Amino acid sequence: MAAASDAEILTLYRGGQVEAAFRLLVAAHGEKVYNIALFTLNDENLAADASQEVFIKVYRNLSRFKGDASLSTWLYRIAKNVCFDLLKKRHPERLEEDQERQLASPAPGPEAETIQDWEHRRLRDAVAALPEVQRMAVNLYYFQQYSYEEIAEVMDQPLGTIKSHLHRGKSALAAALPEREK
Amino acid sequence: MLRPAELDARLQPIFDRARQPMPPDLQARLLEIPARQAVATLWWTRRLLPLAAALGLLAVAATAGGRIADFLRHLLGGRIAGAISEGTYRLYSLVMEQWAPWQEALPLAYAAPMFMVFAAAALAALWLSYQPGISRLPAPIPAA
Repeated sequence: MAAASDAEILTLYRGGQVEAAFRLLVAAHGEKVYNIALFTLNDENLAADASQEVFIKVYRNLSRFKGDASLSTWLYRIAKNVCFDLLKKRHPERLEEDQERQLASPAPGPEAETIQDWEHRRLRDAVAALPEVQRMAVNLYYFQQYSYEEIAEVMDQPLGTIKSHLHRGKSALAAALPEREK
Repeated sequence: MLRPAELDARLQPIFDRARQPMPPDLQARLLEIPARQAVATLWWTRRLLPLAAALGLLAVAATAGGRIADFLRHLLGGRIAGAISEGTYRLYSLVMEQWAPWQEALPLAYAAPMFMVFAAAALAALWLSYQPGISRLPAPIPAA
């Protein structure tokens, strides 16, 4: 099924078909929100919690959505805020534990891990090493395929700042990836 | 230094391959949100019923208490009784300022039955709110 457009979702919602509109919203954006949260928070459980929180907030506030920005820009701004809040709340000890766990457990050999798993883990670790704002900007750029202008709108930052964050983030990722990817 | 287009050409395929499907249980949780939010609203409404009843009870108790305070003030006049009655009387006055018309309409003879009616309503609301299937409706989804 092709993802529903913002206009279709809003038309359904304003026509009183709230559940149908919400179902389309989850189908259109659920996976992207989850991936952005996963690559921002670098934790499956936190990413699931963040996705749930995002859609609860969207559900509660959709009636107040005025259409100043596009529905998806509004949704990803909520996602950005939820992820940043979770990163702030996350206990520093937990972060240290995560880093220690990553260092203590050597990467499994090729027999235990598919190439795709390995790539995925490697990319997640590389993204996790970026500063928060760069991380979110990079995730919005590659997962949501947002333009620089749209990212600036979601992140509520000047376009020039976003361009700079994205360039630094992309360069850091390219440098962190294995040679065969270069 | 690589150009932005070159960086994109290198990184986009890696992100595309790394994209994870949403876990099925998360998808189910997301789709349940409208129903669960409606239940959560109902849950809080039912929790507010006893509070409303308790406030009504307080108003009537203060009314009756004020009348009793008047009586104590005249009957006893001692310092402790005076202090107790003064406190009760202040509460009574506060309520009566808000509900002045009630003062005339609620002689002491009616205060006790009214008190009992409100008490019964509060108890019934409390009892109802703790019945299985009413208060044990699923709690709101916890915040992340």
